[in-house]
Amino acid sequence: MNRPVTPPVRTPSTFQQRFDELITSNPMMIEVTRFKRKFLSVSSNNTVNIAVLMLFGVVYLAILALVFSANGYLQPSILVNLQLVLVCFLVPSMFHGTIAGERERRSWDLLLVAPISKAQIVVGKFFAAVATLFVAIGACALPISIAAAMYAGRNPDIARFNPVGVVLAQQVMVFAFGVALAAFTILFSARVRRGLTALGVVFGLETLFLVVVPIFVGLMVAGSNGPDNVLMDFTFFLHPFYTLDKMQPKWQSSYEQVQTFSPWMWGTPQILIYLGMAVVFLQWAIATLYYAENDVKFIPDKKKVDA
Amino acid sequence: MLEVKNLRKEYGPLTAVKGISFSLKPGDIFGFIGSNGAGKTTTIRMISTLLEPTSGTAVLNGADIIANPMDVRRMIGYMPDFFGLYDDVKVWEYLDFFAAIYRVPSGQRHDIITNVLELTDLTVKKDAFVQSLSRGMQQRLCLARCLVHDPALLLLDEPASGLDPRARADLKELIAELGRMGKIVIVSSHILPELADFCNCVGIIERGELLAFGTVDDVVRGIQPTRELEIRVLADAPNAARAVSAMNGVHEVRSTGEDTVRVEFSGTLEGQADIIDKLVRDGYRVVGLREQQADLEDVFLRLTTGAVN
Repeated sequence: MNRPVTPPVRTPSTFQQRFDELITSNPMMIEVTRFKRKFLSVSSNNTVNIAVLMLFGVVYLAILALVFSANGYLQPSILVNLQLVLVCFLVPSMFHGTIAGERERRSWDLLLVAPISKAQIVVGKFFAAVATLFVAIGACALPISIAAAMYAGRNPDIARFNPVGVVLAQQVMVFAFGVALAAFTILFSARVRRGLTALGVVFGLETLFLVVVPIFVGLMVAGSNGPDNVLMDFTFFLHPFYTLDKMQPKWQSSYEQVQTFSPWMWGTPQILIYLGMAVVFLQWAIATLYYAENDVKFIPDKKKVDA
Repeated sequence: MLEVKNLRKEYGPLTAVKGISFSLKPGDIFGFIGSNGAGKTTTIRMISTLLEPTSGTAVLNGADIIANPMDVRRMIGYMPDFFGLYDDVKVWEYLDFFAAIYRVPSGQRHDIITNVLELTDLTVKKDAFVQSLSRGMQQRLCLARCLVHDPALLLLDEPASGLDPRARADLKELIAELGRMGKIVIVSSHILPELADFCNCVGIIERGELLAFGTVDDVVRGIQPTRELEIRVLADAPNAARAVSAMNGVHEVRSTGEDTVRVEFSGTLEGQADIIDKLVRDGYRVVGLREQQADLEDVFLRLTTGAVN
């Protein structure tokens, strides 16, 4: 006699529950639609955003035209560095208002009185930022890859080191840096009341760590007789422009040969560290979402299940 | 059932709310009255779990605002005095977003959103962008947002501010309907006659203290136990005044000119009819009677001084 087989009831694991809460069932994922509509759609109602998007469209087409007209004489690293400069400016500009903007717009209280965890709010906003960033980096990858392929065609020695692969690795590095910068921007957006304050702080810190400190250290190293490269490498291990330069195979003028560095030293560790930093910044942002509009703080989540 | 127990809020040396207590049952529409800075918004924000009370608490259907804020949040709909809406979403997306936050099952959301849009008269704006709505429509949308999860308690902080008279009348009718649906509604407003129309209980707050609480009639009677009857006769008002002065419930009688008698009266409606009856039987030609009773505005002005914290 055949007995009916009852399928075992699968209880979702804690990780699965957390994943569902933060990703698949997170209502804050509507932020992806909002960001898409705000930054990537010409059908949005925001005239300034449409104008900026159109401007970027024109610049994008101009870069494509430049790549083709250069016919292999354009070093892709120039475009990658330009892309990184844009990330440094655009990421804080786009995401400084993610939480502070809600406070300014006075929509923040409506979220605070809703049964949604702070982690869901932050993760939803972060994913929207990452999705926007991914599309932007992906769009930039096309002309840069074409430039790399054409450049390799002109330089057979360089071609041995797969410049398109290097460029794609650099794109991942830029993306990872952008993710960390987005999380950093969201952190400051969570800590202040005004979006412009967050923007000012992030730009200030970027200037300090990406420009002022490198100039200062560079001046110090220039006057010393020690192992300059080791000190520079150690100091700028997480500097994105320095890392890009190290990832790029290039001619060594004095030896007429191509110089390369191990991706396990330049590229991979930075990408992992940037992503780790993003997680830390997000956790920090979640832990600092304390105050409501016009108030010192709202009820701290001592007893309830929250992030 | 909402029980507010000795709710108190201090900001350093300033005490914004000084131990307020009251309780409301389903169907109650509570008008919260007070000058600007009296403590209305602070009280509402504490009940809504936005602000941590310095002491005291509130319990909604067994859930404490301090011990179980998430449970309380699931049961309340809060409409702040000033609020912002996302400008890059459509009306139905906005409501769907909040329905998702309140864990309304996705299969039910469409019908619920359709219903609340109908209730708030926004059906034709379903696919419009939120920022394209007028101020009144945005108020209604915010109210619709409060209703998507069928809350037990609605906290409406100055919901009528900035609305034109028609929108106000619509809102009043809507709030009355919500009361009939069995929800507890707390409404703060400066427009006192409006509150008297649809609130079945009121509270008057000044400098963080609840000066009066109860039904509109009780609160009015509490501050002015008598009502003034203005009786108009064809002639001989002074004698008419003397004729009714000894009747039950009559506290004070005076005549104004030859045709008006003013009676301070605290009796029943039957006693009021008896006064007319006596005047007619005594041969006075009664032309009319007007009852002048203190209203909520009189009570408010008499109880409060306009002082703020």
